[in-house]
Amino acid sequence: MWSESSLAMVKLLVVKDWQVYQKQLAGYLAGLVLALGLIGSGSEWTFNAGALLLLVLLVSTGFFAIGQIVLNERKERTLPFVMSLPVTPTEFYSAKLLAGVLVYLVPFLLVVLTTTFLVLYTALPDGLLVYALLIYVFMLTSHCVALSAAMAIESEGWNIVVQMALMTALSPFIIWIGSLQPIAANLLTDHIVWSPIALGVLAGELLVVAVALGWTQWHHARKTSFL
Amino acid sequence: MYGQIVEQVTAKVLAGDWSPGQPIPSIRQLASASKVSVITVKRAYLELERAGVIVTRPGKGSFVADTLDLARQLALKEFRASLDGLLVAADKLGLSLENILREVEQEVITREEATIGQCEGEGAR
Amino acid sequence: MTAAITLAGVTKAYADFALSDIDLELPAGQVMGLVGVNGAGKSTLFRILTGLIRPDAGQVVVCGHSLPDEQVAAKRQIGYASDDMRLYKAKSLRWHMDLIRAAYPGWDEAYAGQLLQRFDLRPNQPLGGFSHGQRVKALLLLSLARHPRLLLLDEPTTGLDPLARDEVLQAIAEVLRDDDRSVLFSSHNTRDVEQISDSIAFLHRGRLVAVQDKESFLDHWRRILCRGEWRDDIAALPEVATVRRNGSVIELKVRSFSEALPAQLRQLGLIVNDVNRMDLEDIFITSIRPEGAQGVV
Repeated sequence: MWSESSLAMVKLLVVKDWQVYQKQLAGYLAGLVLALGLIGSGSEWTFNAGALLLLVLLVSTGFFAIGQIVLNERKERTLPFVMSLPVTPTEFYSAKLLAGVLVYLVPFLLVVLTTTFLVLYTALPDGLLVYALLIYVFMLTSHCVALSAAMAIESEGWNIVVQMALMTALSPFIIWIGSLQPIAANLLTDHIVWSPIALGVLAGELLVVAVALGWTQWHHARKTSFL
Repeated sequence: MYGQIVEQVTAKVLAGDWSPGQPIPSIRQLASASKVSVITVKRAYLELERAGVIVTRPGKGSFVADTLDLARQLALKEFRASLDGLLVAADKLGLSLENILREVEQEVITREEATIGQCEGEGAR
Repeated sequence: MTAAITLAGVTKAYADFALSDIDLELPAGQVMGLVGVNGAGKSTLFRILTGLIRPDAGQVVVCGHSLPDEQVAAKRQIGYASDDMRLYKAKSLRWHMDLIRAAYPGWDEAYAGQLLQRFDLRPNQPLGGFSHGQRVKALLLLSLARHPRLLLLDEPTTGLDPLARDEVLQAIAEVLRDDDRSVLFSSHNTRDVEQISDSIAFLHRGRLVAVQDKESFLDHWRRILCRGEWRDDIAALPEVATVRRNGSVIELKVRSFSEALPAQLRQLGLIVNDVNRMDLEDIFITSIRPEGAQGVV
């Protein structure tokens, strides 16, 4: 199914979407670096400010990328141009999905790796790592759900509803996992404890990612013509 | 529209830009250069061939015809076309053959007198 | 040589519009002009030809490839530019040219450079700053520089100033040199269609009202001015498309003229004053009016 020329076209389309979004991504990355700097700088005040900035940016970079890469093609009417390239609908949608995930993984991995480094090698308690990672993966999950929704739903209005809902769920989630016994107990210690509950939450998040992306790929790959 | 092309090619041949036996642009080349459809040029070339202005040799292309009295042939063709026009107009007016001939005779005489008058005028200077 | 386009029985239905039973053939090396009002179905037809839309019924074969199954192979040979296509506003024409060059075989950089100059386009300016005319020319450049076997152009000269229009027609005319390359274009401007098409198709309310080679169209239609007393069997003549009367002056628009017709009219008691050819615009408007339309002034 995936011939060499097929893969070449998918790569071409992903690179295209990357290049279209490049400049704005650079802006978000700069903001994230600032936020991480604040988190690692030592005082409680900057930690909180940095954490808040980080979460806001991590959410908005994802949703903005989805807007630019998926929704804008319809709005800016560049769809006919892209669809007239020698690509099948399957290649087109697969490339969209891939681009939507990859573009988010860049800031995401930056944040995860930097946080891991900061937690392990600065004064911050190591126990924070489990807590932070669960939150980050929640945001990745949230991004993948929003991406799937954007590819399935044409209406910009409904996509905003989905994104709002996901953003609203973030706060309760953070509070919830912060209240879970094994996590709360180790939060401010230097013990990294992957309790069954923590692992369970992680597994749940990754499962949702797999379902959202898997369903989207399957749904669009069945199309034999664009419209 | 094909008429314009017929005129243009004929004019070039009469003017001597294209000499007898010389190859002329292919149908597609001329169509492309004049921004006109191929079918129009094809039709023009057919007309030109029928009029004896050009010849088309299969596989070799189109050439200006080598006949020497080409100019006379073209003038003759023009005469016949005008004659046709004359008769159509006469028909509208409902002129009889006698009337037509009388009109023609009158016109020829008038022109001859005008020409003589001109020569005399010039001679007098 | 394989036909550039073959459509047989193509049908596509939407809620408020349907393309019905389209049979069309475009032989290789020819130019076909598609004439139709807004909403006649031209854009739908183009999208079916590029494999973007799957018809409800019928066969679509473009450049020897069946659509939409072989759409990638077909699209490699097609250059498609349409009025509703937009490019990425933040990116330059040069970026788009590089994208096309990477996506297709056969990009001619030298020719692209020539077109940039002739079309007077700036390659490094973001496309958001292009005017409508410049955008149309940019899209055309992206297609033309690949030397595609089939050009599908939806309204390529609409909204262009006379200079730009001439440049576009010239670029399209250059395709004519190759007897293996074909063009299907749609236009409101019947002058362009009349000038450069080998065959012409009228599309109205999703149906092909007429398809003929251009010379036949222009040969068969006449506008006849007569005088005399009106008789109903004048309108009943099969060749007559429309009739307009002003007192004793009768104007007939006739769709299949023959030398015998003026004589027939004289037999019906009319005096035939003038027989004129009709231009394509007139033929089109007359064709899409309801059958045997009569107007009395």
